[in-house]
Amino acid sequence: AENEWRMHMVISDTREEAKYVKEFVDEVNERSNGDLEITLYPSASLGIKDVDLIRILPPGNAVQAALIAPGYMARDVPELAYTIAFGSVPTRAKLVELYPLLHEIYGGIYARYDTVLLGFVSNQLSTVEVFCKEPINTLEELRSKKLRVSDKFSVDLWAKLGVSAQIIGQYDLYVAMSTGVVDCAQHLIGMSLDISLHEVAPYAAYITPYNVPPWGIVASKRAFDKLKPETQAMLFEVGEKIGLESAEPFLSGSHNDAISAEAIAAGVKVVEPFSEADQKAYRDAALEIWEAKMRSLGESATANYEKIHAMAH
Amino acid sequence: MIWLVILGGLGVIALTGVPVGIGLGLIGLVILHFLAGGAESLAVTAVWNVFTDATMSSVPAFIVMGELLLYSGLGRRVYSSMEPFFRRYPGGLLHTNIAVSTLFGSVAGSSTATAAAIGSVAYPVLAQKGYPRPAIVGSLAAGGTLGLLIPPSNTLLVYGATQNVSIGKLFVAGILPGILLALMFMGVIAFLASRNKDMALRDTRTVTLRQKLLGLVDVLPLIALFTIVIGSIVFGIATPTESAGVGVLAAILLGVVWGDLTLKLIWKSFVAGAVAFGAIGLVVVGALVLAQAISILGAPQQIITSISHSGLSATSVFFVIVAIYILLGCFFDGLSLLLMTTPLVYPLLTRLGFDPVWLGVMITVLIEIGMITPPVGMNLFVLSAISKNEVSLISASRASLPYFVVMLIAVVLFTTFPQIILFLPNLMSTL
Amino acid sequence: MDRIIDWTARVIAAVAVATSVFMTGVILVSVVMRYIVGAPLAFGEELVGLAFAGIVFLMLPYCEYTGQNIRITLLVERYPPALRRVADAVARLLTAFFCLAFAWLSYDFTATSYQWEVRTLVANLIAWPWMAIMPVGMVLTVIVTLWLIRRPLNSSPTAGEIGDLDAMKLDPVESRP
Ligand code: NA
Ligand code: NA
Repeated sequence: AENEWRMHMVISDTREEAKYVKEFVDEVNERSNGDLEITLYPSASLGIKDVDLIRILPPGNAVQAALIAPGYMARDVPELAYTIAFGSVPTRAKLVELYPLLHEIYGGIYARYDTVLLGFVSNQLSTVEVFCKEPINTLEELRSKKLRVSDKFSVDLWAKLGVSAQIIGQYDLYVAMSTGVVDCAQHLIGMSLDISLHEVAPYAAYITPYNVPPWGIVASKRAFDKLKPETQAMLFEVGEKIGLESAEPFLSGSHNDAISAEAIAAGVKVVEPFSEADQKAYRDAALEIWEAKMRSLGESATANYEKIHAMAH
Repeated sequence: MIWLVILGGLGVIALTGVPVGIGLGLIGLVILHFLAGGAESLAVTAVWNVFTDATMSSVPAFIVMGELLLYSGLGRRVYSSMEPFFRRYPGGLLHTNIAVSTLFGSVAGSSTATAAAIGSVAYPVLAQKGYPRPAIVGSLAAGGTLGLLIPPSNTLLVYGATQNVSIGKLFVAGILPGILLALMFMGVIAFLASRNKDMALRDTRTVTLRQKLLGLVDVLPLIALFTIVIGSIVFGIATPTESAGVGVLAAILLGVVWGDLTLKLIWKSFVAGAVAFGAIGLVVVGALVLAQAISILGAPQQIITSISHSGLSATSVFFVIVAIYILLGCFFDGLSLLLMTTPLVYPLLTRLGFDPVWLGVMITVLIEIGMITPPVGMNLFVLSAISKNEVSLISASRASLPYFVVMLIAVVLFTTFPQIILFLPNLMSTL
Repeated sequence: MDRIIDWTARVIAAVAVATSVFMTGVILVSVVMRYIVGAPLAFGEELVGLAFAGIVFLMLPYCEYTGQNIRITLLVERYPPALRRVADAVARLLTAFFCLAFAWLSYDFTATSYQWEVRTLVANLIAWPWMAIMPVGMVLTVIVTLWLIRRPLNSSPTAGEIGDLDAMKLDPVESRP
């Protein structure tokens, strides 16, 4: 083809979301009439890390496109990472309603870094659980436990609820849990099988919806500019189509239900969710941390926060 | 083309004697610049990411721990008192390297951390006792690899997490092959020692049982140290990475109370640790740049895709994959290799009917092999640096060759008798 | 100039050693905090990672200066003296070239982070000063290796003890016990 792109993706091609990415790539390759051929590299097999993407994409020489989860961009572009944070949108339906606004906001941020947002792929996981070695589903019980989280945002959030949380990496979690470095972990039931969490902490209690922003299909602007105008238009078109397609199972929660059933079959023991009051306390804390974070990131982030907050609540 | 650049670069390293890290890094930069469209800035992101993600951060602390034992005199006393027990076996104290590595491997999840922890304690003492230096390094490099196979294991963790295989089963599956490899390594030592008088170091003086037992008092500090390090992990006080810091503190306390450690010697231990670590660090920089250069071209993906379309039989495909791991293992550090290859190899081989748990252990063994093959062999780097270059990279790899051969035999053995790996995990699932 | 180079290599190395002491301290405080209050230092692991990178790049000039880098000397050991001198000089030049290239690339990486006001994720530390250790270490290594270009690689001057700043004379590192 006239233009050959390498596309980075951190998730493996067995993940549900990867189906939509592959569909995007196949359709683009087919419809570009020889102008563009994208090769997808799943499981980060190009050896690059998501955190560097906003430095790697702009020159357009080694990697021309990528599937980006905004949350991974916190180091270089915190505004991308925190525009939608854990718990900042109350329901899945609300989040999907926000997609057009989000496309505008994220697209604007990506444009500042010489990259182009082509479309979205909805995350297919939709619930967050607290996994423990024993059945625990109240904030009161959690206060006497050692809880593992994966980022600073969650540490601050749990601190507001009087729970002392600590950051432990994904790969250290299994050993940390089995030796008792921690007793509980905030984790997604949809990803618990990956790290065999049920073998060391089988009890899972629902705490909050997993409303994180959709993954973005992002291209290097320099590479994008070399394409024919009709190819460029087609990329946006396919991007939008994939976004709508992938939003449906997210809304219905069908994949999350299926994978939860798998987890339960493997040994996860689902206990009663945290009480309504506890869930609300969690969401309120999340909102507070989110607001503070966005306001600390300057004018544009503050304006975005206000727009999203007004629409979501 | 890419392999030509690599071969040429390796030639330059050998012909000029340029530091290995510099040579590897230059090869990487050349590939990034000329073959990857001027993407040399990836060299920096690759290095920065690995250095700051704390996966290797226990290595310097374990080296310091060893230096503390050395400067306090505790290390020497420990080995002197263990010697009488091993004097009758060919290879003598070299066997303790394997035994202690196995023990340490049962708490540490990494090969290099095990090699660093045991190597920095054992190397200086055994060198002083007159064991041939390359032989010491060979046994330590091989012993270090047990850290990956005997649970916990970083390789099995990452494999399990990325391929969705039970980590508990993988850990259990690593036990028998780990112990078997340890015994095979001891066999190598006995074999080599029976053919090489320098290595045998048999002592004909008679030592009474009473003397032996009294001497054992000197082992207590080391037992205390390992109990503290291992205990801090087992009792959930520290993560395996943090346990290295606990080990440093414990070594300081034991060295002051039981040994001759002073403030000045503590500083010197940290100095020696930092120097060894600086030397290792440069090689890691070069290795990471080269690994990034090879993977950005999608080279491993291309190789494995072409195998999956080759129409070979299942066993042939597996042994081709083994050969590829051994080849790539020469150029990649363990984690890069694992992350790069498993997403491609796992679907290919499980579709051909290989068991996922068995495959995880086999890949771990193959990655262990890469730890002791030049030019990028992390255990060789660590031990060469610990030896203060007394044992060069070349002689370290030459000394590791017999262990390399034994590991290849193990690969064939585990393929012929998969029950060695699967017996325990299957037992687990029937219970 | 010899003295300045010697002094610089040792002072920088001393900073690296102090950093490794600091790193051990951070780990220990984190462990104790977890044990006592159930919450380790949130930024402990991040700080350890930064310190780790710092130690490597600050040690490079000293390792080059004292000839402690890992090399393959199988062939060069067998060269006649004249050829050996050429090989050593070439090796120094290659070293200088790589370090200069890496210094330039890592400077660029650092400058971008400075421009974007990049901060670390957990402790919210300004990132560029830590990143700047890469180009600084590399540039110093370039100076050291070019300064030593006419000296054989295997008989590099041995710097005095790290941390013993009064000892400005070029005496060998004390032998190990
Ligand atoms: Na282990
Ligand atoms: Na290797």
